[in-house]
Amino acid sequence: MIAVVRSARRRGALAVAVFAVVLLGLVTAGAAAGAVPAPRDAFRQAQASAPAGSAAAGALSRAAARDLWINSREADAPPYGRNVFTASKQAVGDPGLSATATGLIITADRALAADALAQAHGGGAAMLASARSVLSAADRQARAGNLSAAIDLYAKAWQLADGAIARRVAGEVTHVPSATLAAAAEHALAVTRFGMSGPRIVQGLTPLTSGGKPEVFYAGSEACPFCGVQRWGMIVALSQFGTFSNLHLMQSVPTTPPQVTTFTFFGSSYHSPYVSFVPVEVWSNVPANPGLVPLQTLTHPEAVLVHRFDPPVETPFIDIGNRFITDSATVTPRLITHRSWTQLAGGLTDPSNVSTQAIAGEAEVMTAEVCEATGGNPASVCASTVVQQYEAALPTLTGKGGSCPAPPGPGGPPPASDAPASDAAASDAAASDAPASDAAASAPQQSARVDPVATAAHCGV
Amino acid sequence: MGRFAVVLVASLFVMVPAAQAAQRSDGSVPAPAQVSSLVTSVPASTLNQVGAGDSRNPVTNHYFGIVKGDGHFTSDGKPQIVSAELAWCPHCAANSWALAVALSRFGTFSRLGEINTGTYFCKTAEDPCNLNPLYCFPYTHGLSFMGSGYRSPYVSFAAVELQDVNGHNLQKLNRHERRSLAAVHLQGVTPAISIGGAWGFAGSGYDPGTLAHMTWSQIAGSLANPHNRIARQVDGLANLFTAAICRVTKGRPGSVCSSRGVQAAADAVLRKYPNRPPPPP
Repeated sequence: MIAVVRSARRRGALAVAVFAVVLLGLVTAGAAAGAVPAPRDAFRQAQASAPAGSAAAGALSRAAARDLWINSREADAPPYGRNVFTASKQAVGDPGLSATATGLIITADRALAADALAQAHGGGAAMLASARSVLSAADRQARAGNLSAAIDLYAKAWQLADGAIARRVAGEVTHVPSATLAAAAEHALAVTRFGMSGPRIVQGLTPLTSGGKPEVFYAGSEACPFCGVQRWGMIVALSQFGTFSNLHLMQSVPTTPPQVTTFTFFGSSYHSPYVSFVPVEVWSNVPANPGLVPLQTLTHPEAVLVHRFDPPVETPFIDIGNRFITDSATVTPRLITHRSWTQLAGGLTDPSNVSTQAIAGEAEVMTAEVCEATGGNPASVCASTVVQQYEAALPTLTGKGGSCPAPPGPGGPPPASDAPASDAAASDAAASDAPASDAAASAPQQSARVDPVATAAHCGV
Repeated sequence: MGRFAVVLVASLFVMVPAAQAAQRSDGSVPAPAQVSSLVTSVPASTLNQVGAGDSRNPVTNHYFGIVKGDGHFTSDGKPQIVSAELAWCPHCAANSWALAVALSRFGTFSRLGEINTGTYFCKTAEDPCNLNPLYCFPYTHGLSFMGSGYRSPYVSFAAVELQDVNGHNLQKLNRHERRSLAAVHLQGVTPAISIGGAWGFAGSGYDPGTLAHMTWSQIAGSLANPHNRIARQVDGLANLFTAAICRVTKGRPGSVCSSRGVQAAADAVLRKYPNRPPPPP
């Protein structure tokens, strides 16, 4: 009984202290931006003050894990970013944690939800109202000292706000003004530094169709930055032929820069009277040991298709009606990195914006390909001047875009013939089903360690 | 019961340090006698039936290379075979089986080790854009020559494990070994094998993915079956290594070097080696 009373007193005292810290944080944030640590930094500070080896220290280490953050203020999109709240809830459950550290955690969780709400401005009104209501309820729980309940509610508010952001961003990316798109795309086509990579143009194959319509098939990975940049252009392009629903926000893995904010096609749907869209996200962006947690599986015909045209199975892989094959991003992901979803989507009304030009260039390459596959339908899209320009330019887009078909390295042992190594690699890739990373087998020991930054630099413009 | 508990605890104390001591510095452990026996006594009839098998042809394959050198490197008066390996490298693990099968035809191994390459290569070759879940061949099971012994009247063998399974530097090539690899233009390459500086092999002789999910016992146990998928790659590669070794032993022993399987591998590869100068280092 005494223990219960003591526990209740402790909880009351802690609640007062914590909420004072929360309020102090909010007031300070209002008075002098930057005085309050960014959420991820707050978790690190709290971790530093937690007893070494304690449950709280371990949980805070997980909350601040690099994989869960886009930057120090923004957590990954759900479902992965949700782990920040799960870990922070575990941390506040440790009785050995100081009131200051607990206050930092609650402040950080609240800031995540509040920042997401601020970003979601203009998203679904009902969702936003619900998020605000849940945030208020979370504050009440924090005041009452029910910290676990408060964190659960902050997580819920954050998730609702994220849904509103997704709705806002998806609304913007699927309704880019045609004049803006045309102007930005014309710029991208004219400026060689974009180094756009065109498709492989295939002739004489049985058209790829489904539902009686030309099929756009995509195989990718949530973790892959090249898929990440490509999805922006794909959504803009395909939105001209049909309607997406349930697009969710996603980001590529931070361990392979450049990290990009993007969408996932997993769980989305698409309807069009002109084309069928079949996306497969093979890998999630959740690290496993080794590799990534799998998400979707290619059917046998899909796997055959990918291996036929892309033996190293590098993504994004896009087949438009068996007429246009793409196994790399049209532009380098570097052109959209360091920008949030709202920044990228918001920029789509400004044709002078570099990221908008990159996305528009990608979009019009794909629009031109789809128009070829649909026989020019609908004319409202396919007859536009810029699409015609892009259709004519498809065979000339020989830039390297955003591709990294094989790890860097010398490309293998000295060939027995006098053929240059690169030619040998190309012919081997066409003739063999050996995985691309096999080339690293015979890399010098120094080069076998692939520096992700060097890889990105190698792949970028 | 009490006595049983004491015995159990005592044996735990005895077993744990013994297991720790068994681990070699590259991360390998001694191979069980059964595995060693199966690898070192693949029937000649199997090897003859497999011939070049399904191993990669280094004349045409980009991932496996062959180089003809002009060296005559020896040790103890015998042609020396130098193998540069990394314990974490799945491609080295793939080659190790064939090298053990081949060398067992010229001499006798003792204290062979088993190595699990783990995931270090996956970390170094991380590619979140690749669809192949096994692109980095995690946990490939191979043989380790580190700490093993080899005796042969025909050749000497130096296996140099440059790094352990976690990528830490381990052994270094001595000057003689470096020169032997240089003679076949394989400095800084792994896996690399120099057959007396006269012939060199770089890269893996077959896809390491062949060994995915296979235990050491399963791999070793498959080598005697000429129709087995693994045997056709490992034994085929072993015949190629054997054919190259026979070139430096001047066809000795005749029972091995004139065998049908070795001749088939020589026909498929060595006799088709382009008669051109070797590429620059």
